[in-house]
Amino acid sequence: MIQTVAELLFQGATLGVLYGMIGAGLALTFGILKVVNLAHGVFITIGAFIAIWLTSLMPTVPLALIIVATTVLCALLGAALQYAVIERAMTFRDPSVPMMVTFGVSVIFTNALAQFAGADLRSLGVGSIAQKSLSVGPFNFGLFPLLTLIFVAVVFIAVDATIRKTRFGREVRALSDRPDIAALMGVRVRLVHAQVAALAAALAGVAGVLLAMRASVSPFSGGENLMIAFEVVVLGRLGSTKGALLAGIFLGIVQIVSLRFDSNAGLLYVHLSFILILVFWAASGKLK
Amino acid sequence: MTFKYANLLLIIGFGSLSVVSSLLLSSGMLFLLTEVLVIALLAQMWNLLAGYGGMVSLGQQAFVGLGGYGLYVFANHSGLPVWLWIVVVPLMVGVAALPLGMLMFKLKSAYFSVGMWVAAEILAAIVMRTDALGQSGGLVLRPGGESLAGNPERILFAGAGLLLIGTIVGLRVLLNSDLGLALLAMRDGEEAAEAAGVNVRRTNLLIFCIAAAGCAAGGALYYFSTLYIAPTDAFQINWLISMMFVSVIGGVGTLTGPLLGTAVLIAVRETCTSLGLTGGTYWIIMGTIAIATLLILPRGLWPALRSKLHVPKTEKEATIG
Repeated sequence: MIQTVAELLFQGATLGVLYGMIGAGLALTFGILKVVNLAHGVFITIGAFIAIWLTSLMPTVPLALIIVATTVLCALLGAALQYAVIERAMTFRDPSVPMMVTFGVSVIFTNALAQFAGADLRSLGVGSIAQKSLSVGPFNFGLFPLLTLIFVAVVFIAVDATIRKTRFGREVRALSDRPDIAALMGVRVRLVHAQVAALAAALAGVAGVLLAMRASVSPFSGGENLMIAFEVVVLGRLGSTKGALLAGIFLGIVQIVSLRFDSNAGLLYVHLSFILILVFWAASGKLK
Repeated sequence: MTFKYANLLLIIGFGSLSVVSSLLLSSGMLFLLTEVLVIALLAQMWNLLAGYGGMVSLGQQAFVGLGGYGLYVFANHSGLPVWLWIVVVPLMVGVAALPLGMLMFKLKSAYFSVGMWVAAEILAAIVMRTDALGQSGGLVLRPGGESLAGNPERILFAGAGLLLIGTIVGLRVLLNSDLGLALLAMRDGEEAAEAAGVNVRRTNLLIFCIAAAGCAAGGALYYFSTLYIAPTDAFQINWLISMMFVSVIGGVGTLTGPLLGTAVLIAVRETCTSLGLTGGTYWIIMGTIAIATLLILPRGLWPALRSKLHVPKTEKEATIG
């Protein structure tokens, strides 16, 4: 019994940290660019499909290299999109303009991906490491999920350090607080915007690759992923990476536990628990 | 011409046009045109929410699905005529939207948008898992337990035409009333409107419920014409994408814009079909047009066209951009 509970919690947590990563990317663009990027979910799917495509193209290349290549490609795509399209949409006073533009982008990318790769569910094999596990006392932990956990932790620490300690991070924070003054002080606004978009897209892309190793994805998974990212941001109380991580873990555990009892529930209980928390917050006056 | 006579003329003109064409056109054509009218109606509703109410909802497909399923459930299981339910079900959905709106309004701007999408997903998942609603297999329209006799498409088309023109005239009247002024004031600044005595929350809720009822009416009409409903179809995001693209292309915050946008949508779709292009290509083209419109003419085609054609401004408009 206790083994099952521990296993479920472990599975939920390893899924949840990926959700946290998706949410952190969305929070980054929202917090700094002040843009609700509805195309964020599609970057997760694009990341997964780029990795699937690269491995089928070069089956002998090690997985770590594939992940790096995918991350770079996603970052480039994110930066290009920001530079060419979203930046212009941001010049309009109404914040719903960039939001609707990114929604249009997500529709285009989703359908292009479906045309290019087919609408089927796909997944990414991880090889022999999938079977390996680590025993701690009576508990059995999969080696691959453990590695995922460590990897995500490293990514989170790195992102946090980048934002807090580097010159880029200072520019980002300055832009987020007072964009006008930051620009006066010589921050190259468009460049920093593109860099932030690249970082967010890279986070989404990596999370997409890791998600495709756990379960299958289709070109139409972007919407689901966007909703999860959004729930993570709302529950994690916007802007804090730690909040995003905790909210992600919570949603991951809800999903794994609910699937255990109701195998075709999909994300129903994840969405329901999100709405229930909202209702609770609304009733207790926490939402303002 | 005074405002009232213009409205009357619109209703009589377009109403008789849709009645006459319902008698003349083939049933295949009527089926297609009913869908066109439904899309135009849905777009008007989305535009009412986003363009006038400032609420960009990504979950309006929920109400389309509810309208369709409501019609099927009540018509199939009650002895009452299906035509009655096509009127009553949208009203019921409008009322049911009230508590949802009260919750969703706790979420501000973008959170509201995606929150609505989550709500729509939950609803779709619940329908898909409910035995009485046929789960993922869906339902067949059998009013009172019997197959539908005759060809409903003529009445449906005429009904959809009347409903659309009735909606547009209704919105014209609404936007010229105190409520319309309140909405425009809210678009310019909620605090200022509140200070001027507008009850922002109540006005938004009213608009939200009207839009829900309108989308449900569209869903009920459309799924009446198909005689079959399935959750993956009724609750699909494509309903929302059509509403948004049509409004954005034609002009958010105008009443003529969504009609113009619907014309663009149909032109693109029929061109794609005749060229043998896939549905995916159609969505890619529509998305590109929508993004290009937003970036070049953020107010949409109609406001730009109108100033080119020197058509005077006859309707209350909200601004964007």
